[in-house]
Amino acid sequence: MDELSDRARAYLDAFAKQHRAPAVVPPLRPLTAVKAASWLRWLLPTVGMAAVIAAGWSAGRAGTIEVAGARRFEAAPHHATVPAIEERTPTLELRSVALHARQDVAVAEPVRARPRVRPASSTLREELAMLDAAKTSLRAGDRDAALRALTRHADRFPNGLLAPERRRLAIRIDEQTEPTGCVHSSCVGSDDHQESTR
Amino acid sequence: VPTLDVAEAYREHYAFVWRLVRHLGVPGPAADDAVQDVFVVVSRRAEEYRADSSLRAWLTTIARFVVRDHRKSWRRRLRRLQAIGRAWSDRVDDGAIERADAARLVRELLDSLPEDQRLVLVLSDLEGWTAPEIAQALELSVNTVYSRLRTARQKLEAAAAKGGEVDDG
Repeated sequence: MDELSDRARAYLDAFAKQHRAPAVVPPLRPLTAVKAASWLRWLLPTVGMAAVIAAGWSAGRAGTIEVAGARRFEAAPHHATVPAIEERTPTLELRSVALHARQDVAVAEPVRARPRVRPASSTLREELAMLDAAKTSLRAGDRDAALRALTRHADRFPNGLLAPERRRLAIRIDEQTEPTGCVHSSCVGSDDHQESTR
Repeated sequence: VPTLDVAEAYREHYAFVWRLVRHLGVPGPAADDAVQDVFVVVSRRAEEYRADSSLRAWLTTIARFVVRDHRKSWRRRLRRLQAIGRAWSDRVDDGAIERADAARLVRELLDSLPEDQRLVLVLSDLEGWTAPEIAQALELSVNTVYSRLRTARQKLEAAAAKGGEVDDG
């Protein structure tokens, strides 16, 4: 087997230097916690999606369509089978009117179902502000300021709603600074790991 | 029948698995998660472990599949981030740039290698395993290991020849 040349070995060594394992072994996550996290990862988006669909459906039921000079149509109650059939024709006429309406005929804007948007909580606003600051610093080329902002966020909201966003930003910085240091996402704000990876 | 002490295995082999997943393409911030994923599999399949076989070999097999599962998403995310923040490269000193270039060259080479060659090169030239150890771990013949290693090394040599000298400081 041919041995590697010195040059190739030097390349491999430079590569390996970037991959030194942390000196401090983090605790092994209990299997139950991992399972719970896995369930949550599945459950939260599912519940969120269901909530959005339910909100949209609910708002859709409450909404009505109005055309100037036309009668007001409302959703037929589920149990009223005969009226529902009778309303088919007006519904088609309504579409026809809307398509062929002259511009001088006032057509009322349909009432659109508006999703109920809850105002952001103050905590979320605070998280957003911190990460926005990091992004702004990153765009401006000030890596240190971006790191400080991420560290503040990690200290204040270690498991905040925007923790994944923080990790994403940390990766961005990490990728660009890997030769000189590590800003491991889970260790932003922790000097131990940064020391251990030097 | 002796059972595997997962906690003990984790403490003993954490650094090895961490390096391995990094070598195989997992970015630094995701390495801990990948290691945890490996040991989740170990926990679930501890009964399947045979005490007479190499634990490192078994961990290698599991790590290989964990990395393969997540590889696409990790690499996609990294490419996006690299595209956004490439301007950082002028903030490090010349030596660091050369080392970074060397490391990047190896990373790109490993990415371009077929998985079987990549793993053999990593285990041999980065982890220092012997060919028989690799053959046993990957359930290959020693000749196959040598063949893959030779091919991978030739590609590394060719890439290094194009890449220039490396400042090892």
